[in-house]
Amino acid sequence: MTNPHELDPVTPRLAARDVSVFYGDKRAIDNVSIDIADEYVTAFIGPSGCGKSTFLRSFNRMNDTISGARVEGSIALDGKDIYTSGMDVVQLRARVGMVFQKPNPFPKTIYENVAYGPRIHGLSSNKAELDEVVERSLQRAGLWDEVKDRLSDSGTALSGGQQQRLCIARAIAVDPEVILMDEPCSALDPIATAKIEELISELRGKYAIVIVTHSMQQAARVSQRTAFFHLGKIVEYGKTSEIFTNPREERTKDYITGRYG
Amino acid sequence: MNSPSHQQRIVAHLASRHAAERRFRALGFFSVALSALVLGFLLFTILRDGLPGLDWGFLTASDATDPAKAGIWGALKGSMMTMAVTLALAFPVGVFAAVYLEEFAPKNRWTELIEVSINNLAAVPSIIFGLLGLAVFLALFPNWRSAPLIGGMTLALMTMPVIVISGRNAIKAVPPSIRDAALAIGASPVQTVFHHVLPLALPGILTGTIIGMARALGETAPLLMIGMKAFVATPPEGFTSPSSVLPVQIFLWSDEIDRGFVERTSAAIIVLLAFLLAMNGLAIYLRNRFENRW
Repeated sequence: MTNPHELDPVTPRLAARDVSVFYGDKRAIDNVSIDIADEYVTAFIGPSGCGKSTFLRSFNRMNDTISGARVEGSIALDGKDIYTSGMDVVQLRARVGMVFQKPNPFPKTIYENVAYGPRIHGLSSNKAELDEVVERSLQRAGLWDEVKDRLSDSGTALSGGQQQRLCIARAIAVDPEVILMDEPCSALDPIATAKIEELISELRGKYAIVIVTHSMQQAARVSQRTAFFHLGKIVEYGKTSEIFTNPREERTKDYITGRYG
Repeated sequence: MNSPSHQQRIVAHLASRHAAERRFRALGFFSVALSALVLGFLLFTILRDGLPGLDWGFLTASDATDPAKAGIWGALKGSMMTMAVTLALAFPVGVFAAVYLEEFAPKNRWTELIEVSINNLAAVPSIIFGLLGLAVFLALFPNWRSAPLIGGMTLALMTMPVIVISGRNAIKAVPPSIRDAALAIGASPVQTVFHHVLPLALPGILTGTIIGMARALGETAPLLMIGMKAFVATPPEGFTSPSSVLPVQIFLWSDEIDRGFVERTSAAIIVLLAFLLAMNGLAIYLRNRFENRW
């Protein structure tokens, strides 16, 4: 595999070193090292069951919630290992947001969905400030114009694509440094998918974005860096343009050209 | 593929399939009719015997040796107070136990053992709880014989496992994606439970609570064990004064030789049923309120 250090001279936001993830005795991720930089959208691609979602969930320690899951190695956020006992998981998740495969808005109002994060983290001192955060987050998520007149409607009453943008707004509202997206479009129709992809491109540079996707076209469209996972390892990591036009590894080429996966 | 013989085969089977459909519907209708009939007969006889005696005097008086003067108020007030104690003890303990077991407890042999014990506890005959109340509560507070406080405590023991079991099921039914969403935004586990999981589980928890409370309201045996069968001619003044409860009052009156008590008994049953209906109504109201909140 490539040495991730050679790839980009920029300081990594996230740096994973020799990370292995176990589910009980099963090793889902095997000694993976990778740097994630602010400037880019990084895509994880690979066949089902290759461990890319598992790996993604170790960046905000969501694997902690699965009993029997265990992470070895180190993942540093801004140079500080998130798996040391000194790292507060609640604080970590305020800095590393996540968007899930299936849109999962809270069954509360649209306003409450976005306001929840800032509220529990005590980010705004009064109602006006909170209103502002909600509006700004919804605007950044490209949802404001569609929902500004019905903020008190239920978040679950929105369409699938709108729900997913609401989830992105909810993640943005606490102003994270990293946003993890676990196949955010797999439950959406092509039009909603296009909107989310557009949104990802707009958010690029403001946050380090890591996206797991099954769609290679999507990886090619939205990402600047792509890591190809297979059987729990990174086979190849590099510039998206190079991975898709001129992969170095035979296995990457086979996957991209549709020979398997 | 869709040859004529193929179609003929399907048609040949159609008649027997439709017949099966009709048979099942008839069976279902018969079952419903039977249960409705039993309920109707019960209601009819009770209303026929009891309604004439159900007047203001009956509702405001307490037990008396003369059936014409005997009323239900003492037992009704006693039941309300007993239920209040039961609810106040069993609901919080039951809900917290359910939350802990479902969301926080490590899955090991100890929690498994506790789980099995709680399931067994829910199936223990009520008279055993009465014996427990007699042996423990009355041994500790011998002066509170027949008191709603002791009765409520005894019934709470019985109701708590029902609330734990229904609470756990309701909590289990909350989709994991909601927990993921809350945790991923940085909510602590306790915040996740209290802001998201419990509100969604509440309708289910309330339904289970009401089922448990309704059972406790109709319970007679354990209360007989702790002495709530005495002749009490005045309504209870406080949670520690002697009292009767509705089902025990019905039991006592039904045992009287005086014919005048037949009407009293039926009237008391009407009051008990009305109390039950009111409780169920409240539960349905609360459930709908919480379900429509979003």
